[in-house]
Amino acid sequence: MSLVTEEKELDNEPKPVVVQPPIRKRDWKLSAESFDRFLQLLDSDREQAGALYENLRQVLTTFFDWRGCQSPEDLVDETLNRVARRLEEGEQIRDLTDYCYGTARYLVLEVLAKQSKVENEPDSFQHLTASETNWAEQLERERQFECLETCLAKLPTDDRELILNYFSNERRIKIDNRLAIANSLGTNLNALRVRVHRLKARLEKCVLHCCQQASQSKISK
Amino acid sequence: MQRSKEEKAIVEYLLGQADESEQNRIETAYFHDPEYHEQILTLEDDLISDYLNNKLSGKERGLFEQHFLASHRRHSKYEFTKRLTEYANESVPKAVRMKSENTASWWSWLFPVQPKMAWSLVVAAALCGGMWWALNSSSIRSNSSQTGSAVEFAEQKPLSPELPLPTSQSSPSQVEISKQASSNGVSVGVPKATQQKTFTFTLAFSTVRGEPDEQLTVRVPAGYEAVQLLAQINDHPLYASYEASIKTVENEKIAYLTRLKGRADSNGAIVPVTVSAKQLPQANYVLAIYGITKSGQSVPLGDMLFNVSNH
Repeated sequence: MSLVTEEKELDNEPKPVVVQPPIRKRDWKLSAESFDRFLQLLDSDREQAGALYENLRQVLTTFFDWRGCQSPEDLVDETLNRVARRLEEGEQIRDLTDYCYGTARYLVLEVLAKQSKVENEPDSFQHLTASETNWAEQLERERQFECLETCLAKLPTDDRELILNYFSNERRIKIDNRLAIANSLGTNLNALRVRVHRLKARLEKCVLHCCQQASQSKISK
Repeated sequence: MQRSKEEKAIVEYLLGQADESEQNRIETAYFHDPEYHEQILTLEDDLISDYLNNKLSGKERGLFEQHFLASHRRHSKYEFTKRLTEYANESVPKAVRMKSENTASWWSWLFPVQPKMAWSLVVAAALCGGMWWALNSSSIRSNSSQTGSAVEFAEQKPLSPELPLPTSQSSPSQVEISKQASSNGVSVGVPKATQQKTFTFTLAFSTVRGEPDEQLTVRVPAGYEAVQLLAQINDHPLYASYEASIKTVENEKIAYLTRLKGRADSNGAIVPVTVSAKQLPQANYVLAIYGITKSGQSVPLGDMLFNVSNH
């Protein structure tokens, strides 16, 4: 009897009812439907919901970071997964932001307890850590400077001059440099700080991307 | 910078000092208010700048180092701000140069930036010249029969005899050179002030006076593989280490040296900065020195403008 015939015979037999075990919390994965449900709760307009989602991610990232948690990005994923799972399970959530904050706070308690245990363990392998060579550091620094130059060059002239003036050493200039910049732009110090913060965040992102690309091209060579 | 009551509360939160109820208040606020969240991120930037500019209180500095910098994200942000500050500071001498292109005196172009540092380059170059001479003169003498060109060079007259000094600064600096020279055992050949209050250098590299609109010139003779600039930094303590950046005035990077060890002298510190002679072709340069504290903070100490000519 061939194997094919055997299989056909088996197909004709009544199949046993398989009882699926409940998905364990740790095995639960975010599906497209769950994610859509989550976005829908943020805003009915999908584009707006996407922007709110990104903002929520950033807020959560800084929350975990400011609370002293390691790997904030992983904890953000875990928080959003937990909330999405609750939604899938049918939980009624009135304020999604509040719910995320509450979930994140619980997660902090879980994580910090474990984290403090790890931190208290003796660092027996510390002596094996190879120190970075001066040369490697110098190369890295050179790369950062090159990327900084590249990214600064991409900024509009006004923005480039603003950020360089803002960060030039105040000791070099006797008067309060930043106040003088704010006055020259006809704005106040707070508005200037926020403007520079946004510029700097853009620049930092660009430099990070540039350095990563430089590293990858070096590896591929 | 004066902080409002709310900003003080946020700074405490960022430094891990807020109690639980205050934590919850701040967190509830920034989860719901993007502007408030941005305000905290801006204060994060301010804290980093204040730390780099030595504006935090002792307690805040400690918390900044122990708590704030413990986070990878914040440490990256700190490193980036540090680089940006270094870059911004290095771009200033270029701006100064451009502004002063119309000024008649090369000396008045050089000194408005950092008078002490610029003057220190003269002293440093003098010391360097002396050390190079001392190191090479013995071998020159012992090998004179084989290395005629070296002997010829050692006996060479000053390339350019005079470097006029501002009256107010000339005397102490001359004393300083003599003291340094004798303590280092290189008094022979060390350039000395003449009665006309001028310095002359004949070896390794020298500072000479060029054309009226020229800046301070370092002359590196052919045959030398390395150039050591001894940066004399007055009125500053000895730092744990130093960093030095050499760029052309057109902002082309030449070298960035880290973990440099300085040595204390009666007025501050001397930092040897050694680069390959090939790295310094004929051009105008800016040497920027940073003191690195034990906690890793970088303190800009000043810039030196110099010109390299005639290898």
